Amino acid sequence: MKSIFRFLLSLIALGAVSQTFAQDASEDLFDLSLEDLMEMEITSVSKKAERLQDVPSSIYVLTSEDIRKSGATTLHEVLRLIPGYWGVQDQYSNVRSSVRHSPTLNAIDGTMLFLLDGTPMQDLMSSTFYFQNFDIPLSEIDRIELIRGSGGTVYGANSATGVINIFTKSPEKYDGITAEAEGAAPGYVATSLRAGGKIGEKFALSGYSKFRYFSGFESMAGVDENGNATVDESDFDENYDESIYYSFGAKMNLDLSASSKLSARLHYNGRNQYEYTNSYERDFVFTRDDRIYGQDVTASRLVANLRYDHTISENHSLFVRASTNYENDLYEAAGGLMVNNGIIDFEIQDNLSFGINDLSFGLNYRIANFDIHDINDPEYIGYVDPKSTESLKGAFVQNKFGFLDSKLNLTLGVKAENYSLINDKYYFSPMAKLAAVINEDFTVWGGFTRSYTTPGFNTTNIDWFLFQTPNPAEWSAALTPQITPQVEQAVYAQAYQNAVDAGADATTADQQATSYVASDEGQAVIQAGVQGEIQTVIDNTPNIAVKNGSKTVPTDFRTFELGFKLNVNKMLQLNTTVFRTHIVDGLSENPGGTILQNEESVTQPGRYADYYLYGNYVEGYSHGTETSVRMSPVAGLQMEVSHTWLKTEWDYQENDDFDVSSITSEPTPDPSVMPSHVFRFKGSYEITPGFILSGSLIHATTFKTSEFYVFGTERYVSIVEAEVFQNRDGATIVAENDSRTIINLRLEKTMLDNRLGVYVFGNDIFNQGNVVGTRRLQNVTLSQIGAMYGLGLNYKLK
Amino acid sequence: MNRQLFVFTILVCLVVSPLMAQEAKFKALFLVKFSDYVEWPAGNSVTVLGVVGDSEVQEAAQAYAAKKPGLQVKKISSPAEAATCSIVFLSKNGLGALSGYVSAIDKGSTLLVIDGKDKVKQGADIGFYLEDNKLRYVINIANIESKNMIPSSRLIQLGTVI
Repeated sequence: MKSIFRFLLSLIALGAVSQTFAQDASEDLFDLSLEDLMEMEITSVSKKAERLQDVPSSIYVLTSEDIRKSGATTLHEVLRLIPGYWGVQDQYSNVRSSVRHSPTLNAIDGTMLFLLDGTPMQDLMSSTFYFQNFDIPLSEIDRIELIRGSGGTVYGANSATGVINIFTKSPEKYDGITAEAEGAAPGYVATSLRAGGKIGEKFALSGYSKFRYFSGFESMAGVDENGNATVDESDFDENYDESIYYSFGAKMNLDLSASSKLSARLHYNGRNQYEYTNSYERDFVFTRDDRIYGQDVTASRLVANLRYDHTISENHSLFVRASTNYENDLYEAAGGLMVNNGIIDFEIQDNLSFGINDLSFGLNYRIANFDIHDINDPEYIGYVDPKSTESLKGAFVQNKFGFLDSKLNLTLGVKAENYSLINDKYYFSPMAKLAAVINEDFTVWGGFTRSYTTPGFNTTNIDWFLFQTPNPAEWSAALTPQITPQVEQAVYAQAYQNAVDAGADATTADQQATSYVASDEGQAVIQAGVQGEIQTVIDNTPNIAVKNGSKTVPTDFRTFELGFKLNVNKMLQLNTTVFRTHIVDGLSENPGGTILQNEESVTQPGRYADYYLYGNYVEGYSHGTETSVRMSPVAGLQMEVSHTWLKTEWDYQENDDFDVSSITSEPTPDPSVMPSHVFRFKGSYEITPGFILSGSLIHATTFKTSEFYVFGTERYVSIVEAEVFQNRDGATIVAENDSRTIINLRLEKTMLDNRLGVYVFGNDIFNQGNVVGTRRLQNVTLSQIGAMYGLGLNYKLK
Repeated sequence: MNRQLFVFTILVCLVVSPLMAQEAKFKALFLVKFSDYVEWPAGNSVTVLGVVGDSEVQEAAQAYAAKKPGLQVKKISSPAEAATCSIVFLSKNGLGALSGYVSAIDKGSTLLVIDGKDKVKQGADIGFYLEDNKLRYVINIANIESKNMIPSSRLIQLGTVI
């Protein structure tokens, strides 16, 4: 501790001395235009300009104009334009996404944090973001910042490999009323109305509403990928790809005084969709038929926050924020269950600038409420404490030392965080980053960060019976008619042999054996034999279930990264980053498929099962590069080319549950769950004033999507079939592991002094309909993704 | 106070004293840039920037004046001096005298820029404010045009019109 204190003293002292010799970096700003100056950030603490160029992180900013030109209809379609992001859709609105991380199979480890106006939107069940339960007008978004790499010191939980920060437009930025409408084939319609602006000198208010309907791409119910019928009558008579979203929001800013401001943000979205889930009942062993639950789901999400900002002096400010994210939805796995989970988060942050120091420190306290209810098949899945409240406590301090008048910036920080769902420990996320601003156009940066994920409820409290063996009475009722004749035959044969051995002829032996079988003694022997056979079957077909490992802890990410940012004649910007992350306590299924036998259920005492565990059984490394080049060679033409490379390699690590020393299998999926290489190109060109052509091309190399599927039953080959019965009869592979190319185009004409915009667009235009992703644990059957062609308009009414 | 805390306190005091006031430099830069985005009846060959009540802005502007031919910067302390300036900047400390400066300028072609946006409608032309840590301004076009100055469309577009 003493040495840390001395180190900090030395840094401050060094800062004090170096300041004397500092040069005035802002002199370089003189040549910038007013437009450029307005894009430069003056942090509320330091009042020092922080250009994106100078930030010691791999950050990408997608502006509202980028979003408008993208032709995107969902948040995922927006995000996939960002270098480093990748998402795999299994339905139009359902995505599994990642940044700088490729997990093990079936692991959902929540390493990427999604924020909406500063409010975390993680799903508490899996610690990931649930795309399916989110929608806002995309024109409502002011910008999206993607931090590639850890944001742990400031953002804390689940920002281990990336942070997606969505900022919506400030109420002051509205100027009147804007109506938007767009439609596309197949069956897509979206309309929205946005209004707002200043009301008086100190108050600004805005609001929006949106309706979105999508009929789904071509249904896969009862057909194969070529549209050929595979069953006489499909089990799925409702359109499970059809969805209706509605959303509204309200925002306000109020200047309480020259130095204090109150702001509030509220976003609400609802969703209606018919969804199917399934479970494997006790009679599955006899019928080989699952039970389907179809239900009309009304889901919703509320994201809101109230923030108070106070400027104490030019160099000192603070904010206090209360925020919430509540989700009410069907959790699709295991026959389906309803969740009404959410957080209430309180945060205070103080920002202080003195000398060369930009110091920030803060506290946060989060209440996490879990409410799992209406489980369709409570014998199939259960949770320990399905209605419970947990807390997350955190504190952080970070200081940026600006040496040589901010030409050499050292940022040191640490966050301590405890999540009561896991344990009583505090986990420390330190960081150290250095940025050298060689000149206005060239910055080199690098550093180390450590960050943790907080596991979701599915990683800590789940008890999921993948295969349910019938109880003895059910076994007896089902097997007795089958087994009794066989046992009778065996008893008869034994009695017959005994008679022959005693010297009887064939006729006599038959009479004696028949008589013995009919006797009380014979019947008792037969009954005992039948019960014995049934018991043997029972003993050899145990329940098979899944629960979490004996000691689940957060996954630990330690990242080294190095990058540079280069501007050439303000026409070309080159950003490159190389990183390597050491991952400890990663999540995976039980190593090598080992199963724990005859364990008591954690939710149903007295019930026993052979358990698969899900816990911290792997460690590994992720490494990769991110390179993007932005060019604006001539007026009106903007282009961007990027490439990202990612490789995550896993090994089993020592743990309390399994001996991994003799396991030879590899936990690294081949191919990886996320693609190794992704190439992107996007560009826009203003052909004539107000007539803009924009487009993008995304190409990802092969990644893991394939799954066994039986078209004749319209089902994935379940874990029960594959692992218990070793049976994949009639199965074919869908969503074969392959590369993927996505091309989007948009053509817009603005008129009436920019008040009216009319556009046509095509998304994923060469996709003729593919099963792109699979989730056999969540989805009962298949969906596909296809192209979308449409047109739209936006009109500023006032 | 133990020894370490004492040393720490001394060092903090050492580094706090000469604050760099980067916000003041940005305001100065904006003021200097404004002269390129406004057309005065007498032409733009010479621009006189008067600063009221903020020595940091004045010093920063003076440093930039050395790089910009035709720009003169001076510190003013009374409304009567405003009439001799093309641009007058009132810091927060000087806002108490706003009405005096508005009256003194009247219909004269002096661009009156103030620190803060709330009082712009009281007769000022442009008001600075911070939004998302970026320097922004509100602009009172009618007031500027009433004084026979012509704001460029870019200046209007970049600001928030009131």
